[in-house]
Amino acid sequence: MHKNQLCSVKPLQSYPKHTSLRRKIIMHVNITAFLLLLGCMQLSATSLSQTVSLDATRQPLTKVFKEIEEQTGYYIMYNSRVARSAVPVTFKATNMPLTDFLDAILEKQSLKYTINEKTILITRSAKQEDHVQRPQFSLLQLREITGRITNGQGEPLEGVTVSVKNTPAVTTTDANGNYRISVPEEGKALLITIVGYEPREFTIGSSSIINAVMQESVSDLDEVVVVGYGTQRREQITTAVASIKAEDFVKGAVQDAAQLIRGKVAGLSVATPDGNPTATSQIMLRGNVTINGSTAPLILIDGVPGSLMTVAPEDIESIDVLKDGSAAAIYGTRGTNGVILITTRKVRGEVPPTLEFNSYWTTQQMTRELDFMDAAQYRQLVAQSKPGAVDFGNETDWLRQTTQTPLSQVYNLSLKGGTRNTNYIMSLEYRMLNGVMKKSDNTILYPRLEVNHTMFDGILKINANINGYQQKHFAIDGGNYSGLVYRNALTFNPTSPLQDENGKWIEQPDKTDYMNPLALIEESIGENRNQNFRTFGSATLTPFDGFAVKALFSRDMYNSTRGYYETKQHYSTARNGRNGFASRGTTRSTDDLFELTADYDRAIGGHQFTLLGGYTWRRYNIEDYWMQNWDFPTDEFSYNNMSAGLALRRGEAPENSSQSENKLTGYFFRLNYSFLDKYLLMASIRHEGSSRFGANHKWGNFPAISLGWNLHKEPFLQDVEGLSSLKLRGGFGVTGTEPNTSYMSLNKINFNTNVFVNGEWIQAINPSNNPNPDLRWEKKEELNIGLDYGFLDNRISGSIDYYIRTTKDLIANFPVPTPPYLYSSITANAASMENKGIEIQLNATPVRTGDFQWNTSANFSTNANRVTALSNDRFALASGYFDTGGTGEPIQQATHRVQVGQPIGNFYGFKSIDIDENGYWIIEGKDGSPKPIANQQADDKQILGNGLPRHYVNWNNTFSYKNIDLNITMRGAFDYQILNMTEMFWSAPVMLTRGNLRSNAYENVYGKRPLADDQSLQYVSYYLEDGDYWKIDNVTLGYNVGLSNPYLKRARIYASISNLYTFTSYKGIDPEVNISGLAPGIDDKNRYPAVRSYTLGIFLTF
Amino acid sequence: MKTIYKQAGQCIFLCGLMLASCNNNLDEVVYSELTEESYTYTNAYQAIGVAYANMRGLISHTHYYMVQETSADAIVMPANASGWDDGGIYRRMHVHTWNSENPQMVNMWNTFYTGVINTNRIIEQLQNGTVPPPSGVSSTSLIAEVRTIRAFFYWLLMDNFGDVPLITTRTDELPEKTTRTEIFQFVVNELTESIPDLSEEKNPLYYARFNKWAAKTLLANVYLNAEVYVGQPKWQEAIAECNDVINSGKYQLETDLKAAFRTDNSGSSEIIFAIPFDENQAGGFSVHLFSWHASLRNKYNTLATPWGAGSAKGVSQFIDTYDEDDERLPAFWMIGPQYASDGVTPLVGSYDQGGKPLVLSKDLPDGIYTGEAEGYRMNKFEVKTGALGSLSNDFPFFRYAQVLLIKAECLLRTGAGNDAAALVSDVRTRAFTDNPAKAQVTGNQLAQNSSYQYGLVTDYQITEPGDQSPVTFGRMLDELGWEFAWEGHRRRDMIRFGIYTTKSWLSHKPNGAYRTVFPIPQIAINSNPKLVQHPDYQ
Repeated sequence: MHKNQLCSVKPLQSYPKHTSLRRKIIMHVNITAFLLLLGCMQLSATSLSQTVSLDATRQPLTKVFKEIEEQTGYYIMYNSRVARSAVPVTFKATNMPLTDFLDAILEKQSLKYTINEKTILITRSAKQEDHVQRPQFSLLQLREITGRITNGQGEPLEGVTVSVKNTPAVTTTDANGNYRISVPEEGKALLITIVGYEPREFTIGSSSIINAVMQESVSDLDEVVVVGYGTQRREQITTAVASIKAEDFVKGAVQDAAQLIRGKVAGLSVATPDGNPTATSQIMLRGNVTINGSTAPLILIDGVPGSLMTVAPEDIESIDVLKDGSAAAIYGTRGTNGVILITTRKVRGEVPPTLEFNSYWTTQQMTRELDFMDAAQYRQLVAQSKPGAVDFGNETDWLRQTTQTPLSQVYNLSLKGGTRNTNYIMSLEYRMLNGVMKKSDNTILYPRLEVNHTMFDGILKINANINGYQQKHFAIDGGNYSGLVYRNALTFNPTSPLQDENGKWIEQPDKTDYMNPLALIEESIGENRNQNFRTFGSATLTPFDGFAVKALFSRDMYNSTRGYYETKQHYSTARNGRNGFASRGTTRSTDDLFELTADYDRAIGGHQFTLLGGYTWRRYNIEDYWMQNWDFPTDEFSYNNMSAGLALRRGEAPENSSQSENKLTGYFFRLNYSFLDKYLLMASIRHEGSSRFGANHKWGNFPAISLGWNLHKEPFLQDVEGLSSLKLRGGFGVTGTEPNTSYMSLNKINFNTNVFVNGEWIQAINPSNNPNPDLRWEKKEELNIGLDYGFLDNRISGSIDYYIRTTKDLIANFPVPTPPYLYSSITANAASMENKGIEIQLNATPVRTGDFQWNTSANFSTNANRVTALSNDRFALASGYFDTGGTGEPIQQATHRVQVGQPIGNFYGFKSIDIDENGYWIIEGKDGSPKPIANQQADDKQILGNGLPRHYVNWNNTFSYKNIDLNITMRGAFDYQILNMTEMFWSAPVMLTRGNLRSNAYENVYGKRPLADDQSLQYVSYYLEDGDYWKIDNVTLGYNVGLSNPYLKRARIYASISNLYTFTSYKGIDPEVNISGLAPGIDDKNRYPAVRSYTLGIFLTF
Repeated sequence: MKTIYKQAGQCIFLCGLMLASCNNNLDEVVYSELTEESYTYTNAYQAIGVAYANMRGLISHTHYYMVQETSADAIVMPANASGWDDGGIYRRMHVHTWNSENPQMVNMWNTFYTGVINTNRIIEQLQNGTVPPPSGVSSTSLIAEVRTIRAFFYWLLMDNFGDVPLITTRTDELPEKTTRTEIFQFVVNELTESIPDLSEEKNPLYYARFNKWAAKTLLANVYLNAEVYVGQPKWQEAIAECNDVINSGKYQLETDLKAAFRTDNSGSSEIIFAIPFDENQAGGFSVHLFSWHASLRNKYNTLATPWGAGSAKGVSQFIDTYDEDDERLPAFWMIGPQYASDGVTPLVGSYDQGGKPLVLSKDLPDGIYTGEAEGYRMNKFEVKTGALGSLSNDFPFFRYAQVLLIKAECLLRTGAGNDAAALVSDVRTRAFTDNPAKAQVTGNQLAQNSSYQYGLVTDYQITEPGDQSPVTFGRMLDELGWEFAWEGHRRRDMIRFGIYTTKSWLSHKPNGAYRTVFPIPQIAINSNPKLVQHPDYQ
């Protein structure tokens, strides 16, 4: 026993032999912590023989283990993850010695075993096999090293094997991740290994403390990927699925789930065009696939539909993205834009009560301030008698007046624990966000409770959840923060005072779109209060092994109450005589879901099947009320006494209410088949109907098939040096997109217009739309071919995907001829589009030494979009194009053209090529020769560029050195143009009559002369700039505090900067602009400015 | 294994139960929507009302109303420092370079055909009984009324677009063009057939609806321009229709010049057919917003603020044609220094005249870009104190003065100059109350050339006179211009007098005789391969 104390030996080995019962008890106690780490471990005991007999054909490894336990009385301990990754066993043995038997069956599994007393510990062998063999013990001991092992999040890792290289000394960490090891004389290096993590090696120097942060294996084929209605091992995946775990999330301040995975998934563009604290990200997967259909990906949180903000980012455990059609087809009519499966943090098995506290504080600044004339520069214009320049004798920096240095705070507290039968996780997150524009804010409280219960020996599993959020933020008239504040802060006269001598805000309501920006903020009161309450749960019945039936019920309730008031000092009174304006609105929605699924696993010989069948039923109902009133006797009521206003009584103010509903129901089936784990097949079909479809097309079928071939398992590749995995896969799937709103196919009438009959106004019956009973889903067919690769024990790994997605029957507001149609557009399925692209993902660990490790991952994606048709047999758009997007007043032109044979996002307008001696634009006429802009004709317009980036590159790096880790996320978008609206409007001298100008307004254009003072605003190519950028998006430096406190298990502090620096030639505020819709690439002059964020955070585990 | 099957069986049974309890019916459940199939019509006026209600759309700055004015020589919508370029859509109307994508073309086309398609449907619904007539009213008379509305839209269609599709039933067949002549004939036939069944009443029930007299005025207008439409004058026919209206004795000239244009003008004895507006119930008439300068808000303490420096303003050459004593000049045009409602505080400019008193001056440098205070503005329609963004003034589409002047013109053209002059003098009387002698004109005067100084203006000066040949019956055209300014008549009148595409004014030069009709909107052609653009616009 003394020996055991001197030489660190695995704890399991040190237990004295006693009765079976005693041993059981002790073991239970000691391995509790082990269980926490390994998740579901299985344990059993009997005592019989030392030899094994077996006749197994395609038996699960777990069954073989059970057999061994029964025959030998040994306990077999293994990670459930190991079991899942195991290849079925086909083996015959008669009274084979146990060790030989284990050698034989585990060899193919890349597993190894160690026998300690009566316990067999199964671990993965790939990275450990050289190091853990300890034939002898040395009695000599020089000194002792202690330390703490944590994972990437700083959580302590229990059961980590710590050994001194080339010596028998070995130990494991305790529940707090601490270890203590005696180092023999010959010990030179410390080796730290645990399943699922990269092994680490440290040179033993003079230090007596060695702490280590373990990085999860970069590409772990055992990794479980969440796919539609289930999970699958990475190795068996045949489709394009990206899976991002919490440790790989973008660190630092994030506003929603999409920002966590920005830059992590090839082909998934996540843009946050503005810094509004209520903004959510724009997501686009593999290019734009629709015209007027929904562009939002289907977002499922723990299997239940929701949105990006349904769950607090800090409560997310993993995000899986079903990218290609064959993966998403199981979601049928909603699968086209991709499916994002968000898994919240879970509790698994038996867990001691664990409290986690996560908090960060953020401040922000605008990434760039646009250069406008200050008061002195402006006065020079007044001195030059420039038309419109008026000196009011003051100096006001309107941007300073309307912006603030915000402080945002986020606190997340979570508690988890439980027994093997019942466990729970609850969390509470409080987010108090503030933005750089005054009054912009967003406060959210996210409560969450999840309970799991298992009974009847595991036959019945029950999962119950309650979560949601309570949100409150400042809003203008129920909407968002007003872009008018920022815009007017830029353009309001810098010589104007804030207020006149009587304290009244300076306003000049005679000028169009010109309002005192500070008064806009100060004289408005607005609050949106939104509540989301989600109750869902499931019951899973497993009547016999391999067969499970699951029923999922969910109700998602959303309530929003909005109030807004503009005082009598507000611009609305100055310009429109509102005399106090209020609006109120409320929305309630209920989203009910019922899903019933059954799945069956079966292995016959080398054949393994998984069958899934299911039924889904979803009903969504939304009600909305909205009213406005004005002309209030006093400002005191704010928006709280709507009847006090007079406008409603006079019939001037509007009131609205509406209710709509839609229903979706479908059946789906899926077969997964693999032969010898080498040849993989997935086939699925969903038969689905939506109430939003026209009477003639309620139901559709969405099939998918995909194949995979694990090449590295073939004999001819077995001996290839360095190759650790290679899989070829291909899939084809059909997905759909629902119409955006309900009732689009119906022949609707309304009473929205009045007619004067017999001296009074009566409501006329007015047809609302052109009905289309043939309205159906958009149909996308996608072919995806991919290759997954891994070299050098997956130290280098990644994937390459090529896809072609063809969207047919695109839902568009299709122009139809009037006559015969009443209205000039109909919502119909009559266009097609094609997207082709390549995605390359590369993960590597270039450096891995004892203390230092560098993990890097890069991805590249490119997409080529083309509109292939804007017609079908019924609706033909003879011109082959339509124009979309708008410059707004006073230019009033379409910015983009959607044209057959061209990609979505084309800027379409006049190509400016020069300026004449008087300062007027010269454009290129349709014959290619220059002409004055005054002689413009519609057919002089041409394609000027495209607003959608064609290429995206992302590069993520993680460096860790001892307890310090550094994350650097960089990303770039290339080959696209931006319409610089702020230049187009405010670098033109003519706009001086309407406010302040950019300081470059009188600089030479085309190197010749400034624009003429009366050159009216024009949408010309001069204002299109290349948007290409490379952004150092996020830099996070973290430090895991070495602790040996019995209560505080982990402490981590970190500092982070988001949107740190952008390399770009673009002259606007930030080249990351709108990528959604048909008019992408416009740097909106009203957009809330982009921001850089500085964050300090702390993470504690108790 | 048996137990396994048993358990599986139980599961399947349970699943079956659950599935059976779900409802797979995918019919849409409507709450705040209504479908034609499910609605039971009870009030015929609600059913036919939409055809009238749609007419309000015509009276806007990007629609019929300003198209008729700004493509002609009396009103122009130039850009200025406050904006109003809008991609050149107004400028193109002035210089006759509009194209098939101008929103005005699309708006006119769509509204006219919305009227046609709605009336086709309503006629069918009245015929098959889906829409029952109100008690005491026959289906026949309602059908006659709706056919008249349809004829009204077809008149506007062939007047503005020439050859256009003629559809008379509820259909979704793609139509081809029908000649202007056939449409003319259709309109004449429809009106002739319908008129006998129309009510002769002029009372609140028939206000702003087609009674017999409104239909006859419509027909008079059609005949008046018949020579333009079909190459055959129908002067006598026009006179006959006018005589019927005159002889009905239901309508009189107002003695007050502005009575037919007041906020509450629905009782005006002069109005034969109006498009009624109400600031709350039926908005869209906003001439004060697009003509006026924003600071004029303070003149009448309107709640809405006009758009920028305003745009629609008088062409100085046209203003110059007014007799100095013609009271219609100050009554219909806003002129000179402007004051707040207190009458003493000068209103000031905001743009190129920033801070300086706002003095509305007559002369324009050109029709492309003017100063914020340049140009006389709309003063014809009363803008009430505290007006909102929409006015409540009804738009008098046909009024008695027009019937008199149609008759006068036809008489003049058929050699009865003095009879014509008597009618014209009647109309002039109220415009020369301080100088009654000037109200009287003679047949010879009416036959004289116009007093309009045509010619291209550059920097306030006529630089290219262009065609200076005399305008036949030019004085008659002048009379129409003075009387009907701001009423959307000018384009049709200029075409009839043959000068719309020959004379130069302000920044306008002749740009092709084919521009007497507008191109078919591109959007209508794009989606209908059977529809061919007019040859000159191809």
